[in-house]
Amino acid sequence: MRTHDTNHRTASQRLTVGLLLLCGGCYTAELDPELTGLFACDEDDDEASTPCPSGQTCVNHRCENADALPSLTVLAPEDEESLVENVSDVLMGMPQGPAIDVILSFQGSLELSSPGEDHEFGEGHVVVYVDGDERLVIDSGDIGATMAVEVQVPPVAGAHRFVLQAVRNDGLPYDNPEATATRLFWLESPVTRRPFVAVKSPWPGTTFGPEDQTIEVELATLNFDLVDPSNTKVEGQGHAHIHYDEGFPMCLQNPACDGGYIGIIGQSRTTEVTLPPSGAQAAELTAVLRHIDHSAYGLPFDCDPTVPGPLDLCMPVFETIEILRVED
Amino acid sequence: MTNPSYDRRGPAFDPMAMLPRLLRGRTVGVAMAGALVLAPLPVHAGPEATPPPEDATPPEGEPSPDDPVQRAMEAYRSGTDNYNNARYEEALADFREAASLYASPDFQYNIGLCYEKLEKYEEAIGAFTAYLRAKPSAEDRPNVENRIEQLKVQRDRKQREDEEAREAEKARAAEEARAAEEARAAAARAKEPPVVIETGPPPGRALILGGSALAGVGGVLALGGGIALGVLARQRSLDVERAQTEGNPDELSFAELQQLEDEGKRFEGIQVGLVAAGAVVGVTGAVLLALGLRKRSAAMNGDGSAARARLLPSATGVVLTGRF
Repeated sequence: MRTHDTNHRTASQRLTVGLLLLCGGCYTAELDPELTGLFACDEDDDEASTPCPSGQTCVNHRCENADALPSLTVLAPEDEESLVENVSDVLMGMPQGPAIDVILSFQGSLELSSPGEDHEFGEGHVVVYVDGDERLVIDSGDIGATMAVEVQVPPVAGAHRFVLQAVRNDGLPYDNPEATATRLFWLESPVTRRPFVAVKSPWPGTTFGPEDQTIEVELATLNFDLVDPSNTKVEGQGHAHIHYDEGFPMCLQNPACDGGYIGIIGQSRTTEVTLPPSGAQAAELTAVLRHIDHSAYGLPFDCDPTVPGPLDLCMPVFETIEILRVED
Repeated sequence: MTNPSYDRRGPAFDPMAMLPRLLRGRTVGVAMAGALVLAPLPVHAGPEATPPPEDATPPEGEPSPDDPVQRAMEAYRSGTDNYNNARYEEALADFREAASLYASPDFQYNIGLCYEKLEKYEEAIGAFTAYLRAKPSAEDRPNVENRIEQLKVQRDRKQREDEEAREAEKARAAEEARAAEEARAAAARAKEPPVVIETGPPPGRALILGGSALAGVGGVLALGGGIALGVLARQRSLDVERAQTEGNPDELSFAELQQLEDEGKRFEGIQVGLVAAGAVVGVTGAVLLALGLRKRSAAMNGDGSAARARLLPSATGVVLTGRF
């Protein structure tokens, strides 16, 4: 019996080895490069490495069909469009009154569906942010055609920002650039019609590394013309100084405020500035209007906001946005 | 012919008187010249004894010590005395000296007697033959001839005995030499390790060994290489399949999957190559092994002429063993 068992085992082993050799030890898979949503990728990969097969783009760390990317485009309000509404202005005291309904018109490529469903590439919903706050979720309709929705905007004169974000069913935003649409527009009071400045780029909330680096800053102005510096003060004209992480507006009344000055923007509306090295933190980027002779531009025109005193009597014109310094 | 001088000798000077037994009744006559005794003649004193020459006689009453006859006589006496006392070598020397001093056939007779006693039969025959040749008319010729014949018989017998003794001695020496050689060989064997002398390699041994080795190498190559690389190729295949069917849980990139596919196909190619090479080597080895076994089987069944013999040392010598 022992001999029989041994022989039986030997035969089984031989059969196993044979099967392994014949069919078990072969390469049988066939890699299909046409499959989408399968291959992992990283947007930070070097472009030369071609992380995805041809015809696919990296979206949310997966290679997806480049022809079916979610995309959004804001049609209205137009870029830097000024909407004259009955809004309050700091010159008239604290903001008052109801929110302003602004018609947001957009279109794009996204199969709208309710949040919480299983992720399916190309499906999802649109979240509308106003000045950084989520204000609206659009999960039905056809955005292939133009969609228009009313969005409530705070009744404050000045720059406002729409952000439209295509979001997957599982709540994860699509991270391809086309899935995000932004729009900067103005609200102004028909009473004051005063100058405004806004940092159009970088967009608030943009992240940067901690090391010192050069970035491009673009400004938008309302009722103010950016010109190169000269010797004559002209109402409604001047340039802007860029400050990094200063405490505006009180900083203007401090002679040491210029310590955070990092650049100047004139007629070109853009300039390159160097961000100083920083730890991981939120930082402020401020654009403040200056007269042509570099003196601080104030409202009313002939006041000097650098002279200590109540700011509501001599209001500087500036905008501060928050950017993020994060570790790599 | 009788020697007259022999008969004239006096009893006081009869040297032959002491020789009756020696000469078997013969009388020896020695012719002496003058007052001096005659030169001593050989003990044989036959009738034809030759007298000493006249001029050899020394002056009467004063024999010269250098006289050959005198010296022969003295040698004769000494020889007779030695002979009677069984000192045959000395007697022979004396008679030979006497014969050299005085030519008498009788001395040859006496010399023959000494040789006979010394069992030198050939020399005895020669001496007796010389006696008969020098004395053709000797009265005792028949006796002497008869004696010669007896001596020949004795000579032949002695020659045979000597030959047998020599043969025996040679055989004994050869035996002793062989025993010594065996003793040396035994001592050498005791020092050296046992030696196995194969009369020839087992039939088919090279084929069996070579075939077994090749079969083993082929098997290892085919099984080891095939399984190892097959497992590697299969693992790559499973990785790619899982990525494509289970949503890529390992978050593999397209480049990584391409690498897995390339590796899997490469491993598969190498696997096929190894299996094929191993199979070729293994089959070759199996064929050689089969040929070797067949050859050995044929030899074991007696179909072939091959036989294996072993020569082994043992306590008693060498033992030859074998398989046929």
